[in-house]
Amino acid sequence: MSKKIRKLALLGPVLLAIIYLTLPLISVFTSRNPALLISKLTDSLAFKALLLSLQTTLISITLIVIFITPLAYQMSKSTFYGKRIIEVFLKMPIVAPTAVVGVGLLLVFGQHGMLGGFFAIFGIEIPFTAAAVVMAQVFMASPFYLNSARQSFDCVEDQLIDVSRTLGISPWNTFWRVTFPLALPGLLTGVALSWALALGEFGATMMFAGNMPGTTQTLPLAIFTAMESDAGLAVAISALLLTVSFILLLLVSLIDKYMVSYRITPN
Amino acid sequence: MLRFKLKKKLRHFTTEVSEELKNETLVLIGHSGCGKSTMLKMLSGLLAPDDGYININGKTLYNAKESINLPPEEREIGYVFQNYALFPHLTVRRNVEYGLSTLSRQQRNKRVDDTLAFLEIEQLADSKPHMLSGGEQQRVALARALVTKPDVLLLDEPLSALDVSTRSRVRLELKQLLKQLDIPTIIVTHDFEDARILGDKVAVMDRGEIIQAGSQADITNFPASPFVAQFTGTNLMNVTANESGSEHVAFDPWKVKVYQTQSEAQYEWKGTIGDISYSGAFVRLQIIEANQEIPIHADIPIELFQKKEMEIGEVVYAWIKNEDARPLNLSPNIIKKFRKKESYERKGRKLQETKKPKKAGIYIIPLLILLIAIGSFAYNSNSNETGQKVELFALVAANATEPFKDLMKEFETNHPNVDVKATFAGTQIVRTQLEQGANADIFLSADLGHIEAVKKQDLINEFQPVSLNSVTMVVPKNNPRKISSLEDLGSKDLKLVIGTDTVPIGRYSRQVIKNASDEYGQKFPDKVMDNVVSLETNVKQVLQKVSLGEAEVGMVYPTDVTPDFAKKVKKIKIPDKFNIVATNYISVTKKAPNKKLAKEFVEMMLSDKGQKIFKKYGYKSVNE
Repeated sequence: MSKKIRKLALLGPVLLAIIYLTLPLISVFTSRNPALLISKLTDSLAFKALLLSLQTTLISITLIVIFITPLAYQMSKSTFYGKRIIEVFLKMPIVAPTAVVGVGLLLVFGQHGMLGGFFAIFGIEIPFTAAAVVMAQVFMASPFYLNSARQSFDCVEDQLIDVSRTLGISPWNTFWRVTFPLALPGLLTGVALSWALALGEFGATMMFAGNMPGTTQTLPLAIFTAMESDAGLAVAISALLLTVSFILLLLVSLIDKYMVSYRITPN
Repeated sequence: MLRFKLKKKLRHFTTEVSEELKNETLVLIGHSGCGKSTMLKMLSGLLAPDDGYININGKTLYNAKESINLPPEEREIGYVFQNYALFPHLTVRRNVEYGLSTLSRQQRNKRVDDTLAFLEIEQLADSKPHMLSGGEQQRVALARALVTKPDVLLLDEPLSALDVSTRSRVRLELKQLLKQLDIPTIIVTHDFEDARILGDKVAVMDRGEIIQAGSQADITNFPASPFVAQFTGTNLMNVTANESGSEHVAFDPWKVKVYQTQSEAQYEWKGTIGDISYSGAFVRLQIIEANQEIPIHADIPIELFQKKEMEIGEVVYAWIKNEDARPLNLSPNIIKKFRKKESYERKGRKLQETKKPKKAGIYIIPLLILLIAIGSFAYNSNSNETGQKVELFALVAANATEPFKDLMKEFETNHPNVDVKATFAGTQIVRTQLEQGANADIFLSADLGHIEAVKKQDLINEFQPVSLNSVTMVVPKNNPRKISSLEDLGSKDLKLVIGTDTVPIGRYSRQVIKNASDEYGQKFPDKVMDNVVSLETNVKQVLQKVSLGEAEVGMVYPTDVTPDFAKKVKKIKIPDKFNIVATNYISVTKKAPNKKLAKEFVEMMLSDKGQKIFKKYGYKSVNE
């Protein structure tokens, strides 16, 4: 009897949590007629925003993979002085309000920023360009990829790397033959997660890149802008954004399911 | 022939070992953490020693003096890890051929086939490691290490991952295999049984040093310290100096006689029985004697034991014949070290015992925090209610933020019982809030369209203009592009920021630009719009971009240039002939909870006093 009560007591919070976490996002799809949603999306504003979002996030995620993967590997496999401090700093973008990040980027890369003046010499201006959008996305999404990649490198036992070297394989080849294939599911999870985050990036982009359809207006900015005039359009774009993100997250769970099977040990 | 001498400082002690090994097996035995695995890591090159050398068949792998230190991949040393460390993503065949990447496909296949056959695991070739039993995994790990034909083989606890029932079988198989291999092999273990069966040579290690090395028989018969005796299961007792001058004797458990009465033997100890265990035809007694480091082990034939009816806690006498005792001289240092370590370990055990995990309360804590947090809210709202104040709530378009705050204060001083609250946001947002049923008394819109739409939905009563506004240009204080008139907005490559056309300020700005085309030409609006680098959703965003110097010019309401912004930006007036009149509209809502007060508030806003406040912030009065 008490077992049953305990089960029920647990069921309550579980159900409430699930409902609370899913309902607001589901309502985006159900509040309006789907046909209306689709007709709204043919709006050139939504289309431009989607295209720009896909272009910029694709570049962002590529940059993240190229620059953050080696960093994640170092953070996982090497020990060095001040590692903990660096770790904390690298996690800051997760907790920093996005507007703060936008201001920070302006202070560095803006026309009067620390590096902005240097860039200006070569005629490079970053604010109000798609490059600024990419930079804001990279900044906000990197920590999530870093975390995910680092954890997946952590999961590759050092012994496997050691044994590979005693078998005559150099560290570089060991990385590609052992570490990388074993970390790959985790890396892909990180890619999908940070991609979804880059797609949703709003505050820093707004601050650093501005809001210009076709150049810097990504999907979330389009939603915010549409909210000022046409709530229906805002909901439609939200639905679009959620769909893209949902597909990405679905991929994550499929990766987990199909690529990690060998990790399951007998018993 | 493997020769090495290695020294490395570890956290608690320095390990220093030198050995010479022909094609034979050396078993390094010791407790975990004694530095034996470190030894293997240094030999294989995975860990750098502080000093010493490693030499295999005349080839130097490491020499501190000559700064030679080959990386692991160039040492040709086979290393089998404790948990075998098979690559989980590769089949057995791929695991085994892993180290042969330089050979041709044919050679590789032949080598792998031979090795799989040698270890009798051909049938496992296509399995993945997680499908194998512990014994099979060990064979695969061995195959992988041997296929590269290493000069030396290192095995780290090769049997500890196996369950007891398979361990003894695999141990014997391993012995056969090592005999066939005939290369220098070092096995690290904590089980003396491994040493007994596998070792041509045995070395007992403690805290980084080899305490005793020799044949298995030497070590068993003449343990160099109580520590070694513990491993081999030999009795080593402290005795008062005898005729041969030695202070210790070693003897085998099965030579010990145990009686309940005292005898006349030279080597006799009195103690209590600490433990009784049966093993085959013998019963093993552990007899604890107060002055000895370790208990005496005595193996007594089972029938004799039953006849004597001994039990735990009973005081007995254990003795041995003189010819069974092997007198020994131990260095006093070793004994001292041993005592220190034992007491240290006992302390450690005690500490561990006191650390018990607490389970209860895990669920209570978040509940408590939640209660406290909610409670504090309740306290706050209570303190508000104690004044019995009436609350008036307004939804206000963002541009009116500053004057409205002053108006609120003004109203509150005249009505001490009233608490005015307001939300400031873009007109569209406050409109949505009203439409979604916000319990507001007053609605202030910056846009005629929005307030008309709300009226159509019958959410408000009549509305009326409450303040008049205009549009102005703003430039950074230093005005880098030397902008002085509206016409300059059409000049080349300017960075202009305006509101998006969905917000009132955006529409007003566009209207102003359009009005100017009468004088500056039909192409003027296009030229200006080409210069727009960002469309902001509210005036503050435009001002921010200009004040940060990112935008070179922006179009805003003059009323939004607060003293803070005025420090960083400069207003440039737009001539009246082009300018527009931006009107704020005010209304009392239909569902206003305090209609009377709300009406009073609106009247106050429209009075000269209220209009004066608007004027203070740069608005024009509706009364003039």
